[in-house]
Amino acid sequence: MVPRTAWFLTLGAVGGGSLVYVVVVRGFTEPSIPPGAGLAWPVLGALPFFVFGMWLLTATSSRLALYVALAGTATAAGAAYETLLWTEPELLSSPSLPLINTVGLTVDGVAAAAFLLTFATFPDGVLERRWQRVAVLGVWACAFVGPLYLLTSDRVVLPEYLGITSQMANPYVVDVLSPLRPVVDMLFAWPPTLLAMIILASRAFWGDERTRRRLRVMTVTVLAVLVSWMFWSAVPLLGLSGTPLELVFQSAVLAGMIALPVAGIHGILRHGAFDVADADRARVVVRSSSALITVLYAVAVAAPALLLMNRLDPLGAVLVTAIAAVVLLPVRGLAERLVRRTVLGDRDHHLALLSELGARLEQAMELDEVLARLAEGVRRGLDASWVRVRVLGVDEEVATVPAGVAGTVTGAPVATQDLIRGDQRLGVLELGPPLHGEYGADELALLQTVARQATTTVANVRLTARLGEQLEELSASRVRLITAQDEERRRIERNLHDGIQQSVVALIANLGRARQRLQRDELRPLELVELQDQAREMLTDLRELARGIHPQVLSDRGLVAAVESRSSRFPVPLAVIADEGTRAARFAPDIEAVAFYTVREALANVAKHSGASCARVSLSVVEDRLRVEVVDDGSGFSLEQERSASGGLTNIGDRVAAVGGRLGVDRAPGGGARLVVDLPLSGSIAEPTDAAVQVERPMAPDEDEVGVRQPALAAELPLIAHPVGESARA
Amino acid sequence: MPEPLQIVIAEDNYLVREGVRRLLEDSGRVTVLAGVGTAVELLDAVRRLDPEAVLTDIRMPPTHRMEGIEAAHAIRSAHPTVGVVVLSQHTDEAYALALFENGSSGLGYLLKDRVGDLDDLVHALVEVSTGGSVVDPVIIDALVRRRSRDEADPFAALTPRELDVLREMALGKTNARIEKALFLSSSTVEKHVNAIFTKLSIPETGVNRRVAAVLAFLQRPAGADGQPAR
Repeated sequence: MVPRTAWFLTLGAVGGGSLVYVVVVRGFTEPSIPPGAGLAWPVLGALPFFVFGMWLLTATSSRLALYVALAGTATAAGAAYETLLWTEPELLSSPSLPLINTVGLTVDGVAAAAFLLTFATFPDGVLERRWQRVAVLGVWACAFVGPLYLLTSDRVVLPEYLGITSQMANPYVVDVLSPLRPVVDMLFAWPPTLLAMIILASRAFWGDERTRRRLRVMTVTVLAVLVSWMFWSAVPLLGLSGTPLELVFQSAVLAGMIALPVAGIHGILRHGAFDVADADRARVVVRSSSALITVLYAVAVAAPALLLMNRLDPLGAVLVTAIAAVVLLPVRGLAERLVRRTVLGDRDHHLALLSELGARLEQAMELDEVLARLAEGVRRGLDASWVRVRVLGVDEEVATVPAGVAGTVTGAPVATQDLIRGDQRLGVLELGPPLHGEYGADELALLQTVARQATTTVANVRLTARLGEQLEELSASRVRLITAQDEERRRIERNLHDGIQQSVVALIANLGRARQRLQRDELRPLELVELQDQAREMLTDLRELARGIHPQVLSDRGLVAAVESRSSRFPVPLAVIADEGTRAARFAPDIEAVAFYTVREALANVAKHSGASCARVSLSVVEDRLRVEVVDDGSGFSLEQERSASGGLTNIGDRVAAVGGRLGVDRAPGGGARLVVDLPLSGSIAEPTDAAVQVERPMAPDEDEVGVRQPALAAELPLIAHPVGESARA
Repeated sequence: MPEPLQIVIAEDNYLVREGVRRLLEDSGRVTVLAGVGTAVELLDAVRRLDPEAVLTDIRMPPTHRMEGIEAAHAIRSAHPTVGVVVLSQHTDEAYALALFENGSSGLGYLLKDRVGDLDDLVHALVEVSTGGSVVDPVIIDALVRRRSRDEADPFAALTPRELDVLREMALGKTNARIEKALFLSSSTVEKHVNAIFTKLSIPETGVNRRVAAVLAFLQRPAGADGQPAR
């Protein structure tokens, strides 16, 4: 950008200054000098050329723009030099003429070189092959004609088109180099042109498919011009001078000379690597195009009067100009609208698309759909090659899915926009490079606005989705709880039916028999003792059953006492560890019930599956949570158990989740299983955790991390290096 | 003293099985050929030992549901001479109705409480072994309760005393035994029996068929205008 701006300012100053000087001097201060050299060339030739070059500089970063601008500027400067020599004849005899003339020649040489370069590197200043890039440097030779004449010519060589020859001796000539003068003469003529033609021809005929396609119109035009020029040159040799055929060839050559710049402009506009894609640049281009159109309009309006200057009186000139101005006005408006539509039209459309995006997003219900629409909307709105929207997970870190992608993601994003709601980063919007040019500040600002709108939608949809998941889990867990409850009732009924009731039946039968034996005087006191024992056993069974339904000691004496009373009936040595505070504490009934249930189910698992030789139950209050930990030295949780969510664990998980607690299971250090449950002590109905059971795969024994969802808690857990149970045995 | 009745006991609870076995054998009126713990073993024992009657628990391994009833049906269809008394803890009439769904001949449904009443138990076994039926009075009560909710139902017209007699009848008792159980005179019992059959529009029948008739009536859907099927 900076070099382009620098070029624009430098060339603009030089060319603009030159043109102003030429127009002012030739048109106003010294209109009579020189005869026949009016404003036609500077205004109709140099001016449009220069303005076109300047416009190209604003519209494309291709090197060709620089060549055209350079050629236009040098042409304008050449016209200024010409004007200077005409208006200041005393310069022709000034001793500084050789040096001034060197500058003038250089300006012309630069113009020629830039023109040939434009031609050779058409249409965007880029050459495909290395040899071409080296060879094209030779074209610059004509830019050195001025200094070379200064060294080799014994006389000052003025530009030919001046129509003036100078007889002034050149004091700077180097005698040794003077034999080279014919070579320098040639530099200004055929070799650079030929070189440019060869390069162009090599590209036009042997270039790759894309190059050939871009050069096709130019190639045809040049060939037409060359052929017609050859015929026209051959006219005298063929003796056709004065025949209508000569007129035909001449017209063809002239038409070709007009067709060449037209083809050039066509190629440049079509393939010239315009970078008007971003909004800021597009506005600059619209303004510069406007200026170009204005200048061209002015030139076109002035053209008739300028061309017919010698044949028109002032009134006629004014009239012609006025008519031209009126006639060309609609053309100008049309051109401006055309440029606007070409440069800005799609963009305005895109931006409108982008602003509608927010509204359209709100209609989407699924997160995937929202993301896809967002990505596609932004891609089309900003003309990006690809756009990817990624939503972050709950922990804001990982989570690459779900993502919405538009276009094909290649390479790293060139722009990113976070989706931030409050202080939470919900996701990130990544943009690939734009299809044309670069992203402008306006576009990035708009992107921010869109991102804000999208964030709300994404947050809502995400929230809805998570609520849905939680609801699903909640209903599943509720169903499981009800099922577990039913199962429990069935178990109690079975125990009553097949246990106690049967004992009663047996007692009745035995009593019946005793009565019978009493009638026969056969009854012995011992039989009555047996019956008494039977009844006592029944009472014991009944107590056990009642305790199984709800342990009275839990209500009466608290959690630790209830767990300890259980330990005496546990088949393997069991240690119950609790500090005084926890021992004395009473918790909410539901928390105590869940904690006791957890211990009971966990111990049932230990007794049933683990083959443990000892176990330990720890009860502690950690901050505002009650922690229940059950550790054994058995076989640990097998994968199969985890897969089947081993009934007991799922039931524990459901109950724990119902009071807002957390369950973690892993392999205890040194083998065995460890189950940790945290239950909230304040507001026991907390928000439900989103996963009731988090059964993790067994970890390596040397890892002491606990499968609780807060790794920080793991550090507080005491290491169990040896199987516990000593305290119970002691 | 008649020949002791030869029976097989099926009961998965050892205490109950042995208690009942000793109770029955002590009476000298019953010989227990075998005591088994499952329905499969029961069917096998019946096939091998050809008892006169079977006393079976309703719930037995493996499912602890209605193995006893299914076994009873199997025995009645394979060995029509063998009577089956099902002992149950269920006071729901649904289980009794399930037992009697294909006819009540040779079948009895008693609650386990009856094991304390040796006479009733032995009588029930004798009754089913001769093709009679026995229903526990508790079940009769439940059925009657269900029926008499509808005031138009003939059961609503039975007096409490008549209901007492009906219960005893359900146990398969003869008029003489009903007299003894309820401390009534023979003419009074006969009057009540007649009243019952008249009110329920059941044709008078032999003692052996009385329970079946009552059951047939009870099993008819409620509100079927009280007209018995003939």
